[in-house]
Amino acid sequence: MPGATYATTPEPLVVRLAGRGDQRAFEELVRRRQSRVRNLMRRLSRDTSLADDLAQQVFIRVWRTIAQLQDPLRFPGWLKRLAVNVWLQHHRKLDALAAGEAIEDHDRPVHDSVGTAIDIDHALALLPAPVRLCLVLSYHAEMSHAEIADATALPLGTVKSHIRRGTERLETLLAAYANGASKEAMS
Amino acid sequence: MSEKRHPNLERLFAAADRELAGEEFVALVMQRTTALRRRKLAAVLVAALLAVPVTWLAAGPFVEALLSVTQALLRPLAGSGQGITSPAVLPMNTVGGALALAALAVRAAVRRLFSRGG
Repeated sequence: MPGATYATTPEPLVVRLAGRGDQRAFEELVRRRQSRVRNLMRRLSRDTSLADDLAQQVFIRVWRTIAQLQDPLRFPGWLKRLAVNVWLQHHRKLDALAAGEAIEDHDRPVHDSVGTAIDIDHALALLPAPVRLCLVLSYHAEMSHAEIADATALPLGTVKSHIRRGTERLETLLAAYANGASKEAMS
Repeated sequence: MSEKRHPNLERLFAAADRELAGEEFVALVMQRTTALRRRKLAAVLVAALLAVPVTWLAAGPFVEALLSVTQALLRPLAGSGQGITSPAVLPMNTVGGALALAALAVRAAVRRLFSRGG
């Protein structure tokens, strides 16, 4: 099995070896972290194939720049920031953040748009991109508000506001879905 | 606003965060990194191949230019004279020596200026 040599090796050592160009160590890192990065991208993106493509881009960037990482213990945070940057670059291309979407633009009941297949990804997809980003980094990546502000280059006040408004909106969306689902179950 | 997270949303996010099978994904990433390594290696080889004729063509003019600069730097500023002090001042009595002294003076002045404030 490729990469089996490093399966039990502590991550900081694997990071250091990957930084020195060891391809098998890098492969082990991808194996260990792929699920986390892909899940993050799935929460941020609207479809799984795009999420996987962005996750691949994240790991390609890791391969190119891991030699610059001085402290291997900082790898998890560094990887998160890299993932956020890849996602932001993708969205800048689409001009999604600059569009300044308002939450109200998406003010519609969830069960009308996505039916019973609603889940958290669909609910998140109804939020504007910057709000979604802040919410996912807070709840999924478990980053503090200051860390989010740092990673996204958004002002701290904006991050707090996005998380507060996004939480409220997501609760409403998911409650609307729960009501819709229970009515369907009763009928 | 406090950083306390909403428990219901925390639960939902945790439930959505399932372990994804990764072998296919890992294989795709490794394919792309292998292609990158090959492309980088090819670029290095092309650069090395180009460097050989460029070096061969540029070596003559480069050595000539280097010799001209060296000769210009060693040119005496004033007549060497016949006195006993002549050999002693000879290293300073050149364009290169004057330039070196000027550079040292500028460096000392800069250090003095910028170390005054702390």
